[in-house]
Amino acid sequence: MIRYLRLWRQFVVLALVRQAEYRLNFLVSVGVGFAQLALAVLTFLLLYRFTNDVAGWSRAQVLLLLGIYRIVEGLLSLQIAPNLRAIDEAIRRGDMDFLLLRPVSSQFLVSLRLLSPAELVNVLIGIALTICAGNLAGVRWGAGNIAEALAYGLCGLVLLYAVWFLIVTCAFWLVQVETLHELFVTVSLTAQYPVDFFRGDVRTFLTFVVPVAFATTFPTKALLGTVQSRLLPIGLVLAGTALLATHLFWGYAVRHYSSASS
Amino acid sequence: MKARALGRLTAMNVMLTLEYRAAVSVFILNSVARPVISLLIWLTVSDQGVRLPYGRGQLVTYYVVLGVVSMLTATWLDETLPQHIRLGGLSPWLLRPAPYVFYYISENLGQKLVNLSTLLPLVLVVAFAFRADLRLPTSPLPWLIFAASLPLAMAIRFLLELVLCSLAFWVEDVEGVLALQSVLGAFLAGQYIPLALFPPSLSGFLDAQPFRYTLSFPLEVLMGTLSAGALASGFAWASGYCLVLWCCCRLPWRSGLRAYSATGA
Repeated sequence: MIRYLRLWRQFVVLALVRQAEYRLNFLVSVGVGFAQLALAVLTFLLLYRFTNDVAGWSRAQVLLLLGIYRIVEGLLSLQIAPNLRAIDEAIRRGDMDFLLLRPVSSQFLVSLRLLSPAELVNVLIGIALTICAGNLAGVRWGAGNIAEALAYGLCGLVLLYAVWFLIVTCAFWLVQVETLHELFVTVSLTAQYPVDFFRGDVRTFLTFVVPVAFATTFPTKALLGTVQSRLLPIGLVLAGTALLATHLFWGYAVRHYSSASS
Repeated sequence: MKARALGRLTAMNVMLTLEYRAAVSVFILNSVARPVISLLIWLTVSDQGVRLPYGRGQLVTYYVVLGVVSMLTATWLDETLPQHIRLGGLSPWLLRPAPYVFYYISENLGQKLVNLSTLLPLVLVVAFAFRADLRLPTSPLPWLIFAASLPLAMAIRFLLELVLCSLAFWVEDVEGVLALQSVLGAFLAGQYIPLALFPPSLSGFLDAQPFRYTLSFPLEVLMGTLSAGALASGFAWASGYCLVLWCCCRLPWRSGLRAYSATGA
Protein backbone atom coordinates (compact mmCIF):
# COMPACT_ATOMS: atom_id res chain seq x y z
CA MET A 1 0.00 0.00 0.00
CA ILE A 2 2.79 2.40 1.04
CA ARG A 3 4.66 1.45 -2.10
CA TYR A 4 1.61 2.35 -4.22
CA LEU A 5 1.22 5.71 -2.50
CA ARG A 6 4.88 6.46 -3.12
CA LEU A 7 4.51 5.48 -6.77
CA TRP A 8 1.49 7.75 -7.12
CA ARG A 9 3.49 10.66 -5.64
CA GLN A 10 6.05 10.09 -8.39
CA PHE A 11 3.26 10.20 -11.02
CA VAL A 12 2.13 13.58 -9.66
CA VAL A 13 5.66 15.01 -9.78
CA LEU A 14 6.15 13.76 -13.34
CA ALA A 15 2.81 15.21 -14.42
CA LEU A 16 3.71 18.62 -13.01
CA VAL A 17 7.03 18.59 -14.84
CA ARG A 18 5.26 17.65 -18.07
CA GLN A 19 2.59 20.33 -17.57
CA ALA A 20 5.26 23.01 -17.19
CA GLU A 21 6.43 22.13 -20.71
CA TYR A 22 3.01 22.73 -22.29
CA ARG A 23 1.63 25.97 -20.94
CA LEU A 24 -0.75 26.63 -23.83
CA ASN A 25 -2.49 23.36 -23.04
CA PHE A 26 -3.27 24.81 -19.62
CA LEU A 27 -5.04 27.84 -21.12
CA VAL A 28 -7.06 25.58 -23.44
CA SER A 29 -8.24 23.45 -20.48
CA VAL A 30 -9.35 26.57 -18.62
CA GLY A 31 -11.17 27.94 -21.69
CA VAL A 32 -12.95 24.67 -22.40
CA GLY A 33 -13.94 24.37 -18.75
CA PHE A 34 -15.53 27.82 -18.73
CA ALA A 35 -17.32 27.20 -22.05
CA GLN A 36 -18.84 23.94 -20.80
CA LEU A 37 -19.95 25.59 -17.59
CA ALA A 38 -21.50 28.53 -19.45
CA LEU A 39 -23.38 26.14 -21.73
CA ALA A 40 -24.78 24.15 -18.80
CA VAL A 41 -25.79 27.31 -16.92
CA LEU A 42 -27.52 28.67 -20.06
CA THR A 43 -29.40 25.39 -20.49
CA PHE A 44 -30.73 25.59 -16.94
CA LEU A 45 -31.59 29.29 -17.25
CA LEU A 46 -33.69 28.46 -20.32
CA LEU A 47 -35.31 25.55 -18.48
CA TYR A 48 -36.19 27.69 -15.44
CA ARG A 49 -37.56 30.50 -17.61
CA PHE A 50 -40.89 28.69 -17.62
CA THR A 51 -41.12 27.46 -14.03
CA ASN A 52 -39.45 27.80 -10.61
CA ASP A 53 -39.60 24.13 -9.82
CA VAL A 54 -38.63 21.15 -11.97
CA ALA A 55 -39.35 17.78 -10.34
CA GLY A 56 -38.92 19.34 -6.89
CA TRP A 57 -35.64 21.12 -7.69
CA SER A 58 -35.27 24.90 -7.48
CA ARG A 59 -32.90 26.91 -9.66
CA ALA A 60 -30.35 27.37 -6.86
CA GLN A 61 -30.42 23.65 -6.04
CA VAL A 62 -29.74 22.73 -9.66
CA LEU A 63 -26.82 25.18 -9.80
CA LEU A 64 -25.47 23.52 -6.64
CA LEU A 65 -25.67 20.18 -8.43
CA LEU A 66 -23.89 21.70 -11.42
CA GLY A 67 -21.06 22.80 -9.12
CA ILE A 68 -20.69 19.26 -7.80
CA TYR A 69 -20.80 17.94 -11.37
CA ARG A 70 -17.89 20.25 -12.29
CA ILE A 71 -15.88 18.92 -9.33
CA VAL A 72 -16.56 15.27 -10.24
CA GLU A 73 -15.93 15.89 -13.92
CA GLY A 74 -12.74 17.81 -13.11
CA LEU A 75 -11.43 15.03 -10.88
CA LEU A 76 -12.16 12.44 -13.60
CA SER A 77 -10.33 14.54 -16.22
CA LEU A 78 -7.49 15.16 -13.78
CA GLN A 79 -6.66 11.63 -12.76
CA ILE A 80 -8.64 9.09 -14.82
CA ALA A 81 -9.27 10.42 -18.34
CA PRO A 82 -5.63 10.79 -19.51
CA ASN A 83 -5.00 7.15 -18.57
CA LEU A 84 -8.12 5.55 -19.99
CA ARG A 85 -7.77 7.54 -23.21
CA ALA A 86 -4.25 6.11 -23.62
CA ILE A 87 -5.13 2.44 -23.12
CA ASP A 88 -6.35 1.64 -26.64
CA GLU A 89 -3.28 3.23 -28.21
CA ALA A 90 -1.02 1.23 -25.88
CA ILE A 91 -2.76 -1.98 -26.90
CA ARG A 92 -2.60 -1.20 -30.62
CA ARG A 93 1.09 -0.28 -30.59
CA GLY A 94 2.16 -2.95 -28.13
CA ASP A 95 3.32 -0.50 -25.43
CA MET A 96 1.07 -2.44 -23.10
CA ASP A 97 3.89 -5.01 -22.87
CA PHE A 98 5.98 -2.65 -20.78
CA LEU A 99 3.10 -1.86 -18.42
CA LEU A 100 2.30 -5.53 -17.88
CA LEU A 101 5.93 -6.38 -17.14
CA ARG A 102 6.26 -3.99 -14.17
CA PRO A 103 6.20 -5.61 -10.70
CA VAL A 104 3.02 -3.79 -9.58
CA SER A 105 -0.69 -4.23 -10.33
CA SER A 106 -1.18 -3.50 -14.03
CA GLN A 107 -4.68 -2.09 -13.42
CA PHE A 108 -3.17 0.43 -10.97
CA LEU A 109 -0.60 1.49 -13.57
CA VAL A 110 -2.95 1.83 -16.55
CA SER A 111 -5.55 3.68 -14.46
CA LEU A 112 -3.51 6.18 -12.48
CA ARG A 113 -0.06 6.76 -13.95
CA LEU A 114 -0.93 9.90 -15.95
CA LEU A 115 -2.42 13.15 -14.63
CA SER A 116 -3.38 16.42 -16.28
CA PRO A 117 -2.84 19.03 -13.54
CA ALA A 118 -4.50 21.79 -15.61
CA GLU A 119 -7.87 20.21 -14.82
CA LEU A 120 -7.39 21.27 -11.21
CA VAL A 121 -8.71 24.67 -12.34
CA ASN A 122 -12.04 23.06 -13.28
CA VAL A 123 -12.24 21.43 -9.86
CA LEU A 124 -11.67 24.85 -8.26
CA ILE A 125 -14.35 26.45 -10.46
CA GLY A 126 -16.68 23.65 -9.36
CA ILE A 127 -15.91 24.23 -5.69
CA ALA A 128 -16.54 27.97 -6.06
CA LEU A 129 -19.88 27.35 -7.81
CA THR A 130 -20.84 24.77 -5.16
CA ILE A 131 -20.21 27.26 -2.35
CA CYS A 132 -22.05 30.16 -4.05
CA ALA A 133 -25.05 28.09 -5.15
CA GLY A 134 -25.07 26.28 -1.80
CA ASN A 135 -25.50 29.59 0.02
CA LEU A 136 -28.29 30.58 -2.41
CA ALA A 137 -30.03 27.25 -1.85
CA GLY A 138 -29.79 27.68 1.92
CA VAL A 139 -27.35 24.86 2.68
CA ARG A 140 -26.44 24.64 6.36
CA TRP A 141 -22.74 23.80 6.08
CA GLY A 142 -21.60 21.37 8.78
CA ALA A 143 -19.04 18.61 9.19
CA GLY A 144 -21.83 16.02 9.06
CA ASN A 145 -23.47 16.83 5.74
CA ILE A 146 -20.15 17.66 4.04
CA ALA A 147 -18.72 14.29 5.10
CA GLU A 148 -21.85 12.56 3.87
CA ALA A 149 -21.69 14.38 0.53
CA LEU A 150 -18.02 13.42 0.17
CA ALA A 151 -18.84 9.77 0.88
CA TYR A 152 -21.54 9.73 -1.83
CA GLY A 153 -19.25 11.60 -4.22
CA LEU A 154 -16.47 9.06 -3.67
CA CYS A 155 -18.87 6.18 -4.43
CA GLY A 156 -19.99 8.07 -7.54
CA LEU A 157 -16.42 8.65 -8.73
CA VAL A 158 -15.52 4.99 -8.24
CA LEU A 159 -18.67 3.91 -10.10
CA LEU A 160 -18.00 6.26 -13.03
CA TYR A 161 -14.40 5.06 -13.18
CA ALA A 162 -15.62 1.45 -13.20
CA VAL A 163 -18.13 2.04 -16.02
CA TRP A 164 -15.52 3.81 -18.14
CA PHE A 165 -12.84 1.22 -17.37
CA LEU A 166 -15.15 -1.67 -18.32
CA ILE A 167 -15.94 0.08 -21.62
CA VAL A 168 -12.27 0.75 -22.39
CA THR A 169 -11.17 -2.78 -21.52
CA CYS A 170 -13.13 -3.90 -24.59
CA ALA A 171 -10.24 -2.36 -26.57
CA PHE A 172 -8.46 -5.72 -26.23
CA TRP A 173 -11.00 -7.11 -28.71
CA LEU A 174 -12.11 -4.06 -30.72
CA VAL A 175 -9.45 -2.17 -32.59
CA GLN A 176 -10.91 1.33 -32.78
CA VAL A 177 -12.35 2.51 -29.49
CA GLU A 178 -12.18 6.30 -29.78
CA THR A 179 -15.95 6.36 -30.15
CA LEU A 180 -16.29 4.17 -27.05
CA HIS A 181 -15.00 7.12 -25.02
CA GLU A 182 -17.82 9.19 -26.51
CA LEU A 183 -20.26 6.56 -25.26
CA PHE A 184 -18.98 7.18 -21.75
CA VAL A 185 -19.21 10.95 -22.25
CA THR A 186 -22.91 10.53 -23.11
CA VAL A 187 -23.42 8.51 -19.93
CA SER A 188 -21.61 11.09 -17.80
CA LEU A 189 -23.59 13.95 -19.40
CA THR A 190 -26.72 12.66 -17.67
CA ALA A 191 -24.96 13.37 -14.36
CA GLN A 192 -25.38 17.11 -14.85
CA TYR A 193 -29.13 16.72 -14.29
CA PRO A 194 -30.74 15.62 -11.03
CA VAL A 195 -31.80 12.01 -11.48
CA ASP A 196 -35.35 13.11 -10.52
CA PHE A 197 -35.57 14.90 -13.88
CA PHE A 198 -35.91 11.45 -15.41
CA ARG A 199 -38.81 9.13 -14.72
CA GLY A 200 -39.58 5.44 -14.54
CA ASP A 201 -37.09 2.96 -15.95
CA VAL A 202 -34.60 5.64 -16.97
CA ARG A 203 -34.31 6.86 -13.38
CA THR A 204 -33.85 3.31 -12.05
CA PHE A 205 -31.23 2.73 -14.75
CA LEU A 206 -29.29 5.87 -13.77
CA THR A 207 -29.50 5.03 -10.06
CA PHE A 208 -28.54 1.36 -10.01
CA VAL A 209 -27.36 0.09 -13.41
CA VAL A 210 -25.16 2.98 -14.57
CA PRO A 211 -25.24 4.79 -11.24
CA VAL A 212 -24.49 8.40 -12.16
CA ALA A 213 -26.94 9.43 -9.41
CA PHE A 214 -24.28 8.70 -6.79
CA ALA A 215 -21.86 11.14 -8.42
CA THR A 216 -24.02 14.27 -8.32
CA THR A 217 -27.67 13.89 -7.25
CA PHE A 218 -27.03 12.19 -3.91
CA PRO A 219 -24.10 14.42 -2.83
CA THR A 220 -26.28 17.45 -3.56
CA LYS A 221 -29.17 16.01 -1.57
CA ALA A 222 -26.74 15.18 1.25
CA LEU A 223 -25.68 18.85 1.41
CA LEU A 224 -29.34 19.92 1.37
CA GLY A 225 -30.13 17.36 4.07
CA THR A 226 -32.80 15.58 2.03
CA VAL A 227 -31.02 12.32 1.16
CA GLN A 228 -32.41 8.96 2.30
CA SER A 229 -29.72 7.50 4.58
CA ARG A 230 -30.26 3.92 3.37
CA LEU A 231 -28.69 4.90 0.05
CA LEU A 232 -25.15 5.19 1.44
CA PRO A 233 -24.68 1.47 2.23
CA ILE A 234 -26.16 0.65 -1.19
CA GLY A 235 -23.61 3.01 -2.79
CA LEU A 236 -20.71 1.43 -0.91
CA VAL A 237 -21.79 -2.07 -1.93
CA LEU A 238 -22.29 -0.99 -5.56
CA ALA A 239 -18.89 0.71 -5.66
CA GLY A 240 -17.15 -2.31 -4.11
CA THR A 241 -18.84 -4.71 -6.53
CA ALA A 242 -17.98 -2.48 -9.49
CA LEU A 243 -14.30 -2.33 -8.51
CA LEU A 244 -14.19 -6.12 -8.17
CA ALA A 245 -15.86 -6.44 -11.58
CA THR A 246 -13.24 -4.20 -13.23
CA HIS A 247 -10.48 -6.22 -11.57
CA LEU A 248 -11.86 -9.56 -12.79
CA PHE A 249 -12.64 -8.28 -16.31
CA TRP A 250 -9.18 -6.70 -16.63
CA GLY A 251 -7.54 -9.97 -15.58
CA TYR A 252 -9.61 -11.87 -18.13
CA ALA A 253 -8.87 -9.34 -20.87
CA VAL A 254 -5.11 -9.30 -20.25
CA ARG A 255 -5.00 -13.08 -20.70
CA HIS A 256 -6.39 -12.48 -24.20
CA TYR A 257 -3.78 -9.86 -25.04
CA SER A 258 -1.77 -10.80 -28.10
CA SER A 259 1.08 -8.32 -27.84
CA ALA A 260 1.39 -6.25 -30.98
CA SER A 261 5.12 -5.67 -30.77
CA SER A 262 6.68 -9.09 -30.24
CA MET B 1 -15.71 14.74 -66.05
CA LYS B 2 -15.66 16.47 -62.65
CA ALA B 3 -18.96 14.87 -61.68
CA ARG B 4 -17.47 11.46 -62.44
CA ALA B 5 -14.44 12.19 -60.24
CA LEU B 6 -16.76 13.13 -57.37
CA GLY B 7 -18.76 9.93 -57.90
CA ARG B 8 -15.66 7.71 -57.81
CA LEU B 9 -14.31 9.44 -54.69
CA THR B 10 -17.66 9.07 -52.91
CA ALA B 11 -17.74 5.33 -53.69
CA MET B 12 -14.20 5.02 -52.31
CA ASN B 13 -15.22 6.75 -49.09
CA VAL B 14 -18.25 4.49 -48.68
CA MET B 15 -15.83 1.54 -48.65
CA LEU B 16 -13.50 3.35 -46.22
CA THR B 17 -16.32 4.09 -43.78
CA LEU B 18 -17.50 0.48 -43.89
CA GLU B 19 -14.09 -0.52 -42.52
CA TYR B 20 -14.96 1.11 -39.21
CA ARG B 21 -18.42 -0.33 -38.68
CA ALA B 22 -18.20 -0.79 -34.91
CA ALA B 23 -17.00 2.78 -34.45
CA VAL B 24 -19.81 4.05 -36.68
CA SER B 25 -22.50 2.23 -34.68
CA VAL B 26 -21.34 3.77 -31.41
CA PHE B 27 -21.16 7.21 -33.03
CA ILE B 28 -24.73 6.77 -34.27
CA LEU B 29 -25.91 5.50 -30.90
CA ASN B 30 -24.54 8.70 -29.36
CA SER B 31 -26.13 10.99 -31.91
CA VAL B 32 -29.54 9.47 -31.12
CA ALA B 33 -29.06 9.12 -27.35
CA ARG B 34 -28.09 12.74 -26.64
CA PRO B 35 -31.23 14.34 -28.10
CA VAL B 36 -33.33 11.75 -26.24
CA ILE B 37 -31.74 12.82 -22.93
CA SER B 38 -32.77 16.45 -23.62
CA LEU B 39 -36.22 15.29 -24.72
CA LEU B 40 -36.81 13.41 -21.45
CA ILE B 41 -35.94 16.53 -19.44
CA TRP B 42 -38.31 18.77 -21.40
CA LEU B 43 -41.08 16.16 -21.21
CA THR B 44 -40.72 16.16 -17.42
CA VAL B 45 -41.21 19.95 -17.43
CA SER B 46 -44.08 19.72 -19.91
CA ASP B 47 -45.89 16.99 -17.93
CA GLN B 48 -45.70 19.11 -14.77
CA GLY B 49 -48.35 21.23 -16.41
CA VAL B 50 -45.93 24.05 -17.30
CA ARG B 51 -47.01 25.87 -20.48
CA LEU B 52 -44.17 25.75 -23.02
CA PRO B 53 -44.07 27.24 -26.54
CA TYR B 54 -43.89 23.63 -27.78
CA GLY B 55 -46.43 21.01 -26.73
CA ARG B 56 -45.60 17.40 -25.94
CA GLY B 57 -46.06 16.26 -29.54
CA GLN B 58 -43.86 19.02 -30.93
CA LEU B 59 -41.07 18.32 -28.43
CA VAL B 60 -41.06 14.63 -29.35
CA THR B 61 -41.08 15.36 -33.08
CA TYR B 62 -38.29 17.92 -32.76
CA TYR B 63 -35.89 15.72 -30.82
CA VAL B 64 -36.59 12.51 -32.76
CA VAL B 65 -36.00 14.10 -36.19
CA LEU B 66 -33.08 16.15 -34.78
CA GLY B 67 -30.84 13.06 -34.79
CA VAL B 68 -31.35 12.54 -38.53
CA VAL B 69 -30.98 16.17 -39.57
CA SER B 70 -27.91 16.84 -37.44
CA MET B 71 -26.23 13.76 -38.89
CA LEU B 72 -27.12 14.83 -42.44
CA THR B 73 -25.75 18.34 -41.93
CA ALA B 74 -22.67 17.37 -39.89
CA THR B 75 -19.15 18.26 -41.03
CA TRP B 76 -15.76 17.21 -39.71
CA LEU B 77 -13.37 19.24 -41.87
CA ASP B 78 -11.77 20.62 -38.72
CA GLU B 79 -10.20 17.23 -37.99
CA THR B 80 -7.92 17.22 -41.02
CA LEU B 81 -8.05 20.34 -43.19
CA PRO B 82 -6.05 22.74 -40.95
CA GLN B 83 -3.30 20.10 -40.54
CA HIS B 84 -3.26 19.49 -44.30
CA ILE B 85 -2.68 23.19 -44.87
CA ARG B 86 -0.12 23.56 -42.11
CA LEU B 87 1.87 20.38 -42.70
CA GLY B 88 1.70 20.21 -46.49
CA GLY B 89 -0.79 17.34 -46.94
CA LEU B 90 -2.50 19.63 -49.43
CA SER B 91 0.37 19.45 -51.91
CA PRO B 92 -0.43 16.13 -53.67
CA TRP B 93 -3.95 17.43 -54.36
CA LEU B 94 -2.70 20.48 -56.19
CA LEU B 95 -1.33 18.13 -58.86
CA ARG B 96 -4.50 16.06 -59.26
CA PRO B 97 -7.10 16.78 -61.95
CA ALA B 98 -9.98 17.19 -59.45
CA PRO B 99 -10.37 20.20 -57.12
CA TYR B 100 -9.06 19.67 -53.58
CA VAL B 101 -12.44 20.39 -52.03
CA PHE B 102 -13.86 17.32 -53.82
CA TYR B 103 -11.88 15.18 -51.41
CA TYR B 104 -13.85 16.65 -48.51
CA ILE B 105 -17.23 16.68 -50.23
CA SER B 106 -16.83 13.04 -51.20
CA GLU B 107 -15.65 12.05 -47.73
CA ASN B 108 -18.62 13.85 -46.24
CA LEU B 109 -21.18 12.26 -48.59
CA GLY B 110 -19.64 8.79 -48.40
CA GLN B 111 -19.65 8.68 -44.62
CA LYS B 112 -23.17 10.07 -44.40
CA LEU B 113 -24.51 7.41 -46.78
CA VAL B 114 -23.13 4.64 -44.59
CA ASN B 115 -24.15 6.37 -41.35
CA LEU B 116 -27.72 6.74 -42.58
CA SER B 117 -28.08 2.99 -43.02
CA THR B 118 -27.28 2.52 -39.32
CA LEU B 119 -29.02 5.66 -38.09
CA LEU B 120 -32.45 5.14 -39.69
CA PRO B 121 -33.26 1.79 -38.00
CA LEU B 122 -32.26 3.25 -34.63
CA VAL B 123 -34.36 6.39 -35.16
CA LEU B 124 -37.27 4.15 -36.13
CA VAL B 125 -36.94 2.33 -32.79
CA VAL B 126 -36.96 5.66 -30.91
CA ALA B 127 -39.88 6.90 -33.03
CA PHE B 128 -41.77 3.70 -32.20
CA ALA B 129 -41.14 4.21 -28.48
CA PHE B 130 -42.64 7.73 -28.72
CA ARG B 131 -45.21 6.87 -31.42
CA ALA B 132 -48.14 8.20 -29.35
CA ASP B 133 -46.76 11.74 -29.50
CA LEU B 134 -44.87 11.82 -32.77
CA ARG B 135 -46.50 14.26 -35.23
CA LEU B 136 -45.12 13.98 -38.75
CA PRO B 137 -46.87 15.74 -41.64
CA THR B 138 -49.18 13.51 -43.66
CA SER B 139 -49.39 15.70 -46.77
CA PRO B 140 -46.48 15.71 -49.25
CA LEU B 141 -45.98 19.51 -49.33
CA PRO B 142 -44.19 19.96 -45.95
CA TRP B 143 -41.94 17.01 -46.82
CA LEU B 144 -41.04 18.65 -50.14
CA ILE B 145 -40.19 21.98 -48.49
CA PHE B 146 -38.21 20.05 -45.85
CA ALA B 147 -36.31 18.26 -48.63
CA ALA B 148 -35.53 21.63 -50.21
CA SER B 149 -34.23 23.11 -46.96
CA LEU B 150 -31.86 20.18 -46.26
CA PRO B 151 -29.31 20.76 -49.07
CA LEU B 152 -29.17 24.43 -48.08
CA ALA B 153 -28.48 23.45 -44.47
CA MET B 154 -25.76 21.03 -45.53
CA ALA B 155 -24.16 23.60 -47.81
CA ILE B 156 -24.13 26.39 -45.19
CA ARG B 157 -22.60 24.13 -42.54
CA PHE B 158 -19.97 22.84 -44.96
CA LEU B 159 -19.04 26.24 -46.41
CA LEU B 160 -18.93 27.86 -42.97
CA GLU B 161 -16.45 25.29 -41.73
CA LEU B 162 -14.47 25.47 -44.96
CA VAL B 163 -14.06 29.24 -44.57
CA LEU B 164 -12.96 28.93 -40.93
CA CYS B 165 -10.53 26.10 -41.72
CA SER B 166 -9.08 28.13 -44.59
CA LEU B 167 -7.92 30.68 -42.03
CA ALA B 168 -5.10 28.16 -41.47
CA PHE B 169 -3.45 29.60 -44.61
CA TRP B 170 -2.63 32.72 -42.64
CA VAL B 171 -3.04 31.83 -38.96
CA GLU B 172 -0.84 29.15 -37.42
CA ASP B 173 -3.37 27.84 -34.94
CA VAL B 174 -7.08 27.83 -35.84
CA GLU B 175 -8.06 25.01 -33.46
CA GLY B 176 -9.29 27.46 -30.82
CA VAL B 177 -11.62 29.27 -33.25
CA LEU B 178 -12.96 25.94 -34.54
CA ALA B 179 -13.57 24.56 -31.05
CA LEU B 180 -15.43 27.72 -30.07
CA GLN B 181 -17.64 27.69 -33.17
CA SER B 182 -18.49 24.02 -32.72
CA VAL B 183 -19.75 24.58 -29.16
CA LEU B 184 -21.43 27.93 -29.78
CA GLY B 185 -22.72 26.87 -33.20
CA ALA B 186 -24.39 23.74 -31.86
CA PHE B 187 -26.13 25.80 -29.19
CA LEU B 188 -27.33 28.46 -31.64
CA ALA B 189 -28.42 25.81 -34.16
CA GLY B 190 -30.86 24.29 -31.67
CA GLN B 191 -28.85 21.12 -31.10
CA TYR B 192 -29.55 21.09 -27.37
CA ILE B 193 -32.64 23.26 -26.96
CA PRO B 194 -35.17 24.23 -29.67
CA LEU B 195 -34.75 27.89 -30.61
CA ALA B 196 -38.48 28.36 -30.03
CA LEU B 197 -37.85 27.90 -26.28
CA PHE B 198 -35.36 30.81 -26.15
CA PRO B 199 -36.64 34.17 -24.84
CA PRO B 200 -38.86 35.89 -27.46
CA SER B 201 -36.74 39.07 -27.19
CA LEU B 202 -33.89 37.15 -28.85
CA SER B 203 -35.93 35.92 -31.82
CA GLY B 204 -34.70 38.70 -34.15
CA PHE B 205 -31.09 37.76 -33.47
CA LEU B 206 -31.78 34.02 -33.63
CA ASP B 207 -33.45 34.34 -37.04
CA ALA B 208 -30.56 36.34 -38.47
CA GLN B 209 -27.65 34.14 -37.38
CA PRO B 210 -26.43 31.46 -39.80
CA PHE B 211 -26.47 28.50 -37.41
CA ARG B 212 -30.28 28.45 -37.34
CA TYR B 213 -30.28 27.48 -41.02
CA THR B 214 -27.92 24.54 -40.44
CA LEU B 215 -30.34 22.59 -38.24
CA SER B 216 -33.28 24.35 -36.64
CA PHE B 217 -34.84 25.72 -39.83
CA PRO B 218 -35.39 22.34 -41.58
CA LEU B 219 -36.90 21.00 -38.36
CA GLU B 220 -39.23 24.00 -38.03
CA VAL B 221 -40.25 23.47 -41.66
CA LEU B 222 -41.11 19.83 -41.05
CA MET B 223 -43.06 20.61 -37.88
CA GLY B 224 -45.14 23.18 -39.74
CA THR B 225 -44.72 25.89 -37.10
CA LEU B 226 -43.75 28.56 -39.65
CA SER B 227 -46.15 30.89 -41.46
CA ALA B 228 -45.81 31.34 -45.23
CA GLY B 229 -44.02 34.65 -44.66
CA ALA B 230 -41.60 33.13 -42.15
CA LEU B 231 -40.91 30.29 -44.58
CA ALA B 232 -40.12 32.70 -47.40
CA SER B 233 -37.84 34.88 -45.29
CA GLY B 234 -36.16 31.75 -43.91
CA PHE B 235 -35.34 30.51 -47.40
CA ALA B 236 -34.13 34.01 -48.31
CA TRP B 237 -31.76 34.09 -45.32
CA ALA B 238 -30.51 30.56 -46.06
CA SER B 239 -29.86 31.23 -49.74
CA GLY B 240 -28.21 34.54 -48.85
CA TYR B 241 -25.83 32.85 -46.40
CA CYS B 242 -25.06 30.17 -48.97
CA LEU B 243 -24.12 32.77 -51.55
CA VAL B 244 -22.04 34.94 -49.19
CA LEU B 245 -20.14 31.94 -47.80
CA TRP B 246 -19.52 30.64 -51.31
CA CYS B 247 -17.90 33.96 -52.23
CA CYS B 248 -15.91 33.92 -48.98
CA CYS B 249 -14.56 30.49 -49.94
CA ARG B 250 -13.30 31.64 -53.34
CA LEU B 251 -10.99 34.17 -51.74
CA PRO B 252 -8.79 31.92 -49.57
CA TRP B 253 -8.53 29.30 -52.29
CA ARG B 254 -7.08 31.90 -54.65
CA SER B 255 -4.93 34.21 -52.56
CA GLY B 256 -4.50 31.66 -49.76
CA LEU B 257 -2.94 29.15 -52.11
CA ARG B 258 -0.37 31.76 -53.01
CA ALA B 259 0.44 32.21 -49.30
CA TYR B 260 0.67 28.42 -48.91
CA SER B 261 4.24 27.38 -48.17
CA ALA B 262 3.72 23.59 -47.81
CA THR B 263 5.84 23.18 -44.71
CA GLY B 264 7.15 19.65 -44.41
CA ALA B 265 6.43 18.62 -47.97
